[in-house]
Amino acid sequence: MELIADRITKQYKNKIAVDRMSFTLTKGVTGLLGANGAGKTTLMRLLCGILSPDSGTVSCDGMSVGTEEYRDVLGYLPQDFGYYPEFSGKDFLLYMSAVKGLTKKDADRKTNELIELVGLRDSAGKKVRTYSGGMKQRLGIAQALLNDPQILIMDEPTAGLDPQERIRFRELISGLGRGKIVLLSTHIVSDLEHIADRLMIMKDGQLLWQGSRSAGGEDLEAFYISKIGEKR
Amino acid sequence: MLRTIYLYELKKLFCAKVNLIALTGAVIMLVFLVISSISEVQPVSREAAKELDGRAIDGELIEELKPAMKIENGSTVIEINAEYEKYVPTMDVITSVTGYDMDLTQLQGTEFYELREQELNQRIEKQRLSDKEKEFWRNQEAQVSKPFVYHYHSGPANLLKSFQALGFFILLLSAVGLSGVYARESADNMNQLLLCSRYGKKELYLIKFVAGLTWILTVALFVALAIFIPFYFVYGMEGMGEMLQLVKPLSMLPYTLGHMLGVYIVIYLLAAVLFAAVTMLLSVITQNQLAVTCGILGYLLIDLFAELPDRFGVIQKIWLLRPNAVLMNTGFSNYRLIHLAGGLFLNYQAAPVIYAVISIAALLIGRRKYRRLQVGK
Repeated sequence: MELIADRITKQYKNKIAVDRMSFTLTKGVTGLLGANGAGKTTLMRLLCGILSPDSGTVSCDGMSVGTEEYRDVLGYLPQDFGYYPEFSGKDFLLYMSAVKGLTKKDADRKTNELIELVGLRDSAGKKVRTYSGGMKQRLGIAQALLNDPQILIMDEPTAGLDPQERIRFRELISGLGRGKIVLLSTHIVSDLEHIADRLMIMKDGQLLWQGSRSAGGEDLEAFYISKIGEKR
Repeated sequence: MLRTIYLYELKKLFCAKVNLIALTGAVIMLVFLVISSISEVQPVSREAAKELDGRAIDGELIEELKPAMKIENGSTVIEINAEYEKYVPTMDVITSVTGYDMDLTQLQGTEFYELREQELNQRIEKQRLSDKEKEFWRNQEAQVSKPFVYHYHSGPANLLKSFQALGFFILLLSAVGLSGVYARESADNMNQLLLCSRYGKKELYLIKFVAGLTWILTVALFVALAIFIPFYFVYGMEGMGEMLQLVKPLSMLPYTLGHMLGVYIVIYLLAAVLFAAVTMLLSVITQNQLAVTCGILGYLLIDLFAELPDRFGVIQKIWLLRPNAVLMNTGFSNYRLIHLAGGLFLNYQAAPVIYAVISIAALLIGRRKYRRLQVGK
């Protein structure tokens, strides 16, 4: 399975958020690094089909990004999003399961499984409005995994997680990355050090560098800073 | 799983605090309105109102009431005491046509019907009806039996008048409850999740629409019951088979009160569907809940206060087809008809079709717009 972005461009008024980016994502975890405002979120939205590029295409094994079959294999965790305050955590996951096309039986099974996985068993019945930021983030991670996606796109997934949760999350992603295309954006380099197979570095809407994680050497942070600095 | 989505969409609507508050507020206000309208009117007991059952409304009846009438500056003043209480409902029919600015003691025999005919002719001329329209109304009027025969009808009469308030409240509730159906998820960024989900584009749009309609129809039922139940207990439902003219003496329609109530219930429900469909369309287009609510409330004010005079021919005709105008009983005193496909139609006949067509158009336009929806544009 390959996710191919071919010269995609997105411009907002005078600002080019994504500038003629081309790359291919294969199974494994790809880390997307870039400072705030580099264009990571826009790129991820383009890959999810919720934002149309001004030019260029995104496809996966012949499936266009706008099709139902593409959405069927996609899991997305946005950087920030609201929840329905009148829903409990479990309600939220069951609702998202239905929107993702899971049967009732599968939805129940998968919801319970993920509630356990993200450590929300005790609070699954509580209203989402009572959740802490970290709990909401874990709920977000769970919803992204509901349909057992082949393509998993996560925008700043560790934001709001405490150190212990971050470690658990890294282990989770590390395991998931073996069978799926995982794209994970962050501006915290240490999040990627031990789990990314490949890296992409963005700056000002452009793909500055892409390659294997090992090319970054031992000190990933220093490597990232050197790459960011090169363009200056 | 589509049923599951539907149930959760209903949960969003029925459990939303603002919707619950708005519905409860509407029900309380309507009950209050009913109670105040019951206590404000001249208290004619049910027993007294029934005493004249079966009496023709004519000069003989007016003759009996003459001792209670006084003429002051050319106007008639009626002093109602216990003895004359039973005449109030019948006098209401007469004074609806004549007003009080004349000497009613002079009315003899069937003069009341001559006065009514004069008034109708004046209105028809003022509204510049075509010959075809005049002929239509002549045929209708010929089927209205005269003299009018009085029967107790307070229940259906009050219900018929209450639809105006119902139309107002249902528009208000639509603005509050459904303006966020598609816009709310844009505001709290839930669109990012939904639009990249399998059923998040095509099916979700339709399910939300159906859930919105379910909500508005349920709410319409609730607010209607808030009015119907107190009226039922106070006045009962007798009089459904009586002539419309006992409530609207200047109507030329040969229908019964029950018939018109049935028509009004259908129009009321279709108006609720129309309001919901338009609100949800605006919700998709603007993706801004506040803008939709304010826009509809702005329309509501125009709806309440803007009246177009008779000289505005076609524009007035269209304006009078809006739900609140129809529910306001304007069709009983405005005789303009809708010309369509060579036929002539009453507002009550044209309005439901027009509401259905607009609702379907709103659904289709909204679907097209929703499919093109993007995040963060």
